[in-house]
Amino acid sequence: MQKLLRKMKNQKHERILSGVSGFDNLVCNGFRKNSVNVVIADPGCGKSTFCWQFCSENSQAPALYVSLEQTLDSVLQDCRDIGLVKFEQKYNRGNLQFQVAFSEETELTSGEIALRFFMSELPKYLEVIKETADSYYGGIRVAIDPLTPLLLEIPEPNQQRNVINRIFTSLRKIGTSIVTIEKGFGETLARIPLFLSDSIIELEHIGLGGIYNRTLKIRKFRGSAHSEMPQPIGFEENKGLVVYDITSN
Amino acid sequence: MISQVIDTYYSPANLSSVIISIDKEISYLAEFADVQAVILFRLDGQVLESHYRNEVSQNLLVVIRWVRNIISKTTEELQRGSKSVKYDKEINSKVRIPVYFYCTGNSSILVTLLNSKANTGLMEIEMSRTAKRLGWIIDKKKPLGD
Repeated sequence: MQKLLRKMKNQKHERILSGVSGFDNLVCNGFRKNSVNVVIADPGCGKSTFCWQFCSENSQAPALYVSLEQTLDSVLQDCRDIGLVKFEQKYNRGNLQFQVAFSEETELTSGEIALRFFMSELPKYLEVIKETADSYYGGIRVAIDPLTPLLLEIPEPNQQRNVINRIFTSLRKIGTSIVTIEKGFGETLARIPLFLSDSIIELEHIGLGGIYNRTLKIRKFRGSAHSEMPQPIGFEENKGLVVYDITSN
Repeated sequence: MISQVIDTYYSPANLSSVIISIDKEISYLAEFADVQAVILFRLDGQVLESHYRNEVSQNLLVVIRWVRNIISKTTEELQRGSKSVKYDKEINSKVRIPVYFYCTGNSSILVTLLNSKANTGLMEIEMSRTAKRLGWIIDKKKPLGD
């Protein structure tokens, strides 16, 4: 029994840090390793910033950033503008791979390109980097930002469930992932990834200004205790997205 | 030929005085000791104006988030004819926060979050008056008997 308790206590520390100040305290010191975590959010609440910070955390751990709507230049520029220099540094050192799953040159929609990317290119790529992933604790840090174009491309729920399940299973094999979903396209669109993910982090825009402008709430966190209360969030220069702890108030 | 509709009430000069008047009314209500927060919502659920206490409260954040989620349903209820709707939002077995929704006319909803031990009788009179005055400011409706 003592051994089991010790093991559970140790397991609490075997977490993947999010890179977002104040967030890890809400979820027992970070994400579970080899988990797929969904960030669902209103516009302007910090979905992409969350991904940039997650990929930048731990400069030695390899990271893969898959963008379905932004180019590398625009992401680097955005990171520079808010002072997240670690993202560019990691990219320049070669520890961060940037994949763009859309193209301005074809008539295909970003959803069609994303579907092709996730179904044929990503599995091949994951096979190549699997060995590297296995040598790091928690594997590779993966961020997919946002998954919405793919969801819009597959309206049929059964087919969507199969595709999402395949993607999430592949991601779990190579590391710890963050997948973002945009709110506002109807409840049913985001339902399947929410069920299949290991955790759901909801970022909401309340619009009251000041500390009550944006909030973060953990809706689900498989296999772990987590905060049940919403927490205010904000943006700070050089820190990016910050979760403010007001649990004592 | 369709002639251009010119609404002089919402001319730039008048609009700024409308905004100042709304802010004045909301501030007036927020200054009562029993009031934790006052929020004016547009009918589509967007926040027009808000005032809240300076000290940060976890309970208040929970209620504000809840209000944001039910505002469209409550708006529908108010549009069916009720002048106000009251909820007691339970935070835990010890804390309940009274939340009042008042229809201010054709275009906005006034929401007031009170302290759990607030003098609700007095506050209901004040909230009702503020809602009427806001209706007059926003919709150009003259308040009755105020």
